[in-house]
Amino acid sequence: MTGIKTVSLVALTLLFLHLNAAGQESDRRIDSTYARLPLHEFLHRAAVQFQTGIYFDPAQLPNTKATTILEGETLEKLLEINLTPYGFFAVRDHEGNFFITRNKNLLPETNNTVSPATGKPDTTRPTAESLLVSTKNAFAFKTFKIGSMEKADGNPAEITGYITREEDGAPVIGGTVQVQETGEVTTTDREGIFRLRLNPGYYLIRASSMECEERKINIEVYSDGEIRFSLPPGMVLLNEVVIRSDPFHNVRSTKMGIEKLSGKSIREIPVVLGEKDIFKVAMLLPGVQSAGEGTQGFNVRGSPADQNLFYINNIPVYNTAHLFGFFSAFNSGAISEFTLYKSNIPAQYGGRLASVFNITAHQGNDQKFKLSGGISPVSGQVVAEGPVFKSSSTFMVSARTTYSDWLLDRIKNPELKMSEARFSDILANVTSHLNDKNEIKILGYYSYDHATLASITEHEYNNTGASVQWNHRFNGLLRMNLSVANGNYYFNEHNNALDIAAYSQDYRFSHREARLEFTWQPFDNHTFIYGANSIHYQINRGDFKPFDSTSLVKPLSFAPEKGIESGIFISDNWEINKKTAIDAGFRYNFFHVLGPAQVFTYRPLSPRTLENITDTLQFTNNELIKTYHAPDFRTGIKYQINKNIAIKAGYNRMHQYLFLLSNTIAIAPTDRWKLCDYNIRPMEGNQYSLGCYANFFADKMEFSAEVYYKAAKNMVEYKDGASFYTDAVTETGIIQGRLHAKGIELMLKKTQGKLSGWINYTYSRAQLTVKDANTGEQSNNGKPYPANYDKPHALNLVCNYKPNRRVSVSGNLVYSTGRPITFPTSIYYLNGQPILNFSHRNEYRLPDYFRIDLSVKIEGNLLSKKLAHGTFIASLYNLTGRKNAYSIYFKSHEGKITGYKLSVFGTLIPSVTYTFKLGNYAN
Amino acid sequence: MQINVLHLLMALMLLFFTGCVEEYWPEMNKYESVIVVDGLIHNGEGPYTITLSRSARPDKPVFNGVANAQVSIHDHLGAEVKLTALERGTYVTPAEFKAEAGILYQLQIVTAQGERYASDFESLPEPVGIDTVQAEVEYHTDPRGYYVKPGVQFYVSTEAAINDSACFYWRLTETFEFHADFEIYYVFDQGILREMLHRDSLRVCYRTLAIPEIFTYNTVNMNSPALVHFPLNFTDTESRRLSVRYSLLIDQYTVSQKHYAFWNSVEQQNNGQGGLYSTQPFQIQGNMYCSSNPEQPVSGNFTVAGHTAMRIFVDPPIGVNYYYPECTIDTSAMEEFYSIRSYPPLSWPVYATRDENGIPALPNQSCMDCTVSGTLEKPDFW
Repeated sequence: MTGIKTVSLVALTLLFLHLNAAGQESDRRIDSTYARLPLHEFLHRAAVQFQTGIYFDPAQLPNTKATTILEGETLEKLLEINLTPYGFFAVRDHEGNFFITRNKNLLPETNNTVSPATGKPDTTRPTAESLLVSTKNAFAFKTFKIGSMEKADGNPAEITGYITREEDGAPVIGGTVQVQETGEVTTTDREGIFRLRLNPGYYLIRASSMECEERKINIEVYSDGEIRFSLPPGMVLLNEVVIRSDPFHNVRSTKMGIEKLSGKSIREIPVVLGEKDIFKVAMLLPGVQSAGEGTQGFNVRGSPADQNLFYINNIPVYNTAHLFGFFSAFNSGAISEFTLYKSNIPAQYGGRLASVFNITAHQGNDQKFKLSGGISPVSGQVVAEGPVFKSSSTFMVSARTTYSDWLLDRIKNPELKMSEARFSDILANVTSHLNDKNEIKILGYYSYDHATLASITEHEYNNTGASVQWNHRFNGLLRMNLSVANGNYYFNEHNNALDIAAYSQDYRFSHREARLEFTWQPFDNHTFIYGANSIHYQINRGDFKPFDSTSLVKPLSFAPEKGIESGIFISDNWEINKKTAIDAGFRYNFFHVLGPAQVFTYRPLSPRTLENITDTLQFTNNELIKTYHAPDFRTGIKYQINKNIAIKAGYNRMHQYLFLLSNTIAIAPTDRWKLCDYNIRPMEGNQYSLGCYANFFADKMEFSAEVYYKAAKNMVEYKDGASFYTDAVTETGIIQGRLHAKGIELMLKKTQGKLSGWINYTYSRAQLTVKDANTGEQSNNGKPYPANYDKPHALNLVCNYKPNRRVSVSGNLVYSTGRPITFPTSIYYLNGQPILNFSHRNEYRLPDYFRIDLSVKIEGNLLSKKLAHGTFIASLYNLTGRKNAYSIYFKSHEGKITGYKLSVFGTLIPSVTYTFKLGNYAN
Repeated sequence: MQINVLHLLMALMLLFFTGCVEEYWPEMNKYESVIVVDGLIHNGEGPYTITLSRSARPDKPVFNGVANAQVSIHDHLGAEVKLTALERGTYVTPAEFKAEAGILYQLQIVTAQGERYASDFESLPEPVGIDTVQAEVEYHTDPRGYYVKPGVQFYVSTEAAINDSACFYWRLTETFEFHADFEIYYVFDQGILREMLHRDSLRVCYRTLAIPEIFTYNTVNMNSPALVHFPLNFTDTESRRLSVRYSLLIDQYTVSQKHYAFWNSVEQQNNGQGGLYSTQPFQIQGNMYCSSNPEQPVSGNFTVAGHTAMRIFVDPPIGVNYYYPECTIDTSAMEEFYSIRSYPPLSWPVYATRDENGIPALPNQSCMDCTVSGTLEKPDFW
């Protein structure tokens, strides 16, 4: 008895094993019950029986029966025998799924990670939605029905589509949707929405974007309706692409001079001390320059740094950097992407002449909680995000702080030893999808800087901002965005360099804005954007107070400055035909200068000095002092020569109603914003641009060449030697002049492949002429001189090489002509002392600027089941250690004049940063 | 191993924060010569000096005086004072001329080539007196930033201005007594080596120097009409200045706001550059114009000021270290003595001394003869 038992046990086991093995291995066998089944039923039953996926389109299968059943054959063989006569092939993937396709060359690949323990595909990752497999050239078997048969009336149907990213539910912006049958192509907008107009019928649409895998979807169109789907992340196919931009935008869009970068790409580019800085990365784009390494702000196309408008989720940002410009104001982990508009600034933005820098904060992941962070030699940061308690809301919080004091403590220089510098910031974002038609986004941030130098000066900065946005979709054609935002910039300065003149002063700038914008697409080829926005500015120049009892300084109180800047705008993006499109925008600006104020009027045709005041006007709180108003034009036209090449031209007229009062060559942290007023007229600028754009090698490379010319008037420049500490009456210390800038920007980008990056070259000139015909005042004898940021040649090269998923190497090369500088033309003696005589401004140049940076990023292992994933980034800033000159100056000491060159980063600076995130590599 | 790498990284990163300042003289080839007028008249003792010069190339700084010009000062009542030329480019007023308050003065110059220059009419501001001058021992950081040195910092406190505010321009002159390190034991002169009779005869000297710095300040934005405790110069112990006795003469000039703006701009441009945030330098224009060619720029200024002065004496500060080089007698000095007779007549007299053991030695002449850098004549205010 025992013997039989044993044998049967063994037999059973063997059978079991055999069956199991049969199940595990690829052999599947079919029996005669399958004979004479219609093909689709045959496939269906096989799928059920063997618990394997067999994907096919029932609509495309011929209506025949599976005739040839050979018993004992594998499923694979039988499929082949029965399908080949009809031109179909059965392709299999690692998991044993079959795909029935006409495409002979279909080669399924999965992006599943492989478990190192078993060497087998790891299926513990969450699977994609059941209707799609995450493979290349996927063949979906599910068909979407759009509209309903009852409503079908033969008329073309309006289809509204909404595409999100599978990984976190964020909208796919700038994705493309192509209808195979008609060849029509459209793109998704900022909300991930696209629109199509199709006659009822069956279509195959292909949706893709640079960040995501392509997806093909079958649709059955009956009547007006909606479709929603997501795109899986494109991980294997695309390496960490340095530029994320839709291949079609470069050529197809009417907009010129736009640069877009995603938060991911920023993290690859090496910058000083391993700090990821969106503004420093922006300086690697064509047409963007900085005045030097210790200053914040940058110059776009030959314009001063105060002509750029920064928004983060509609909150205005006035202090874009921490610690005197060395570090960015925002943690790059909190940024999803930014867009820089240099040429065509959309009509919904106004108030600056040169550019608009629009930053989108990262929206929290809508599926699960994620935590990531990092440590660098001077700062630490953490980002937490996730859904809010299983609701349709998501949150994201980012916090960052420095600990650079320990570094300063160890420095020999006794002044720096006694110094201190620190900053911290926090940003929080909540997005809530109330329902299909409504979405609310709330963002708040707070940042703080504190620096003291050898107990002589002490600076403290505080920036806060908050915005609430409501997106409402009326229907497929009309959408609305209503937002209110508040930005506050505050700083406090103590200075006791001289005991008797020790003072403290604070400054507060507040910008409150309300904005209402509608997007209306009544016809296929028109997109109207219209609305209005209004900004209330209030500047408190604070009190200028003696610092302590030994100070003899007379306290001064400044009245606050108030103004309201408003605009109404309308623009239309009109696609005239497949080749031509026009973007026409019109904006009308108003600026109201409000009291309280004491306003001086001056003798006409005379210099504006205190001696020439003819009258004093008093205005009470909120009383209207003066109104300025003017139209803006924002126009662009695109002509597409063929699918891959386009020519674009644009004309923009802009106005600006406030400026940064600065008497230093580079933006100093104590520079203050000032509104235009009774005596200081608003700035106006015109920009003409023309460009040629091409994509080639199947959109793997993008090329653009743009030429521009800009003229601006009423630019505020300081009179020689004036200082705003002594000039409480600003208009007596400034002269308004003209700016002329022109240039050509060439850019070549490679966006795909193991090696990606870009190279750009810009030739540009910017010249100022400061001569006021009204008052007769002038600088530099009224002769034109190069602006402080005029750098004729600029070359940037950014490379990213990713040989495999765990290692990536990045490098930058930056070259530019040195900035202009004023040097002495002779030396003379006063009372036996040598004095330098300077004449024409900016006649010389500093030595050229050249820098190479490198960084290597090493990812932690690719295990899929792990608690946290770490990454090391080692970077070398200024690889050649070149002492790039920041300034050259002269000092007289004991009767002798010596020249000096100051370099900010005069050596090679290495650093190591460690970042971590919960989950595995792919998260 | 890991720790060492970290230290290395730290050390390398420290360099970043010190920035990097090095001496650098750029190539400058756009040389433009301007005419420079430098004159200061006041209500104190004359004579007053006006200099007329042309500016020089920045890499070859030299005073290019312009001679043979007619320089005169006119007042608004019609009087004229002609200045006499001294050495090249220097013109002085007659000794009895003194500027007075309430009169407007104008400087006129006609060069030998016929160019005419004139200033605005300037009035003399009411001079504000000096209340006190203080000298305090302090430690200052060397400009290079690597160490701290002791010295005496001078402060001036003025009297109250008659109007609300006053603008000041100071010129400082220092006079100090210093001693040679060694007595003279031997002298070689006229070919004869003999013992020195009065060993201390060249030991005590005095030196007077103008302090080559510009000092300006004003009380326009101050709460009090008097300036209190304003820092002037700092004399350190890296020279012999404070070793025996030191005196500082402060000439305080009360100037108009216009002249203050001129001197303050010159001071800022000469000293205030450097650092991350510097202002654009420019050509500083004073109150001189070229009447024969209005387009031509003229540098310098004709300053008319109210004058007061005060002198302070400072004894050597106690408890601080001195860092000036002191003479020592070493073996080479002792050997040198034996070749004293080979010194040529042009170098006579040659002095020699003895070390503490009585051995003769011949160190540098300045170690024994203070007149190499000073004068034996004691100033009358000493």
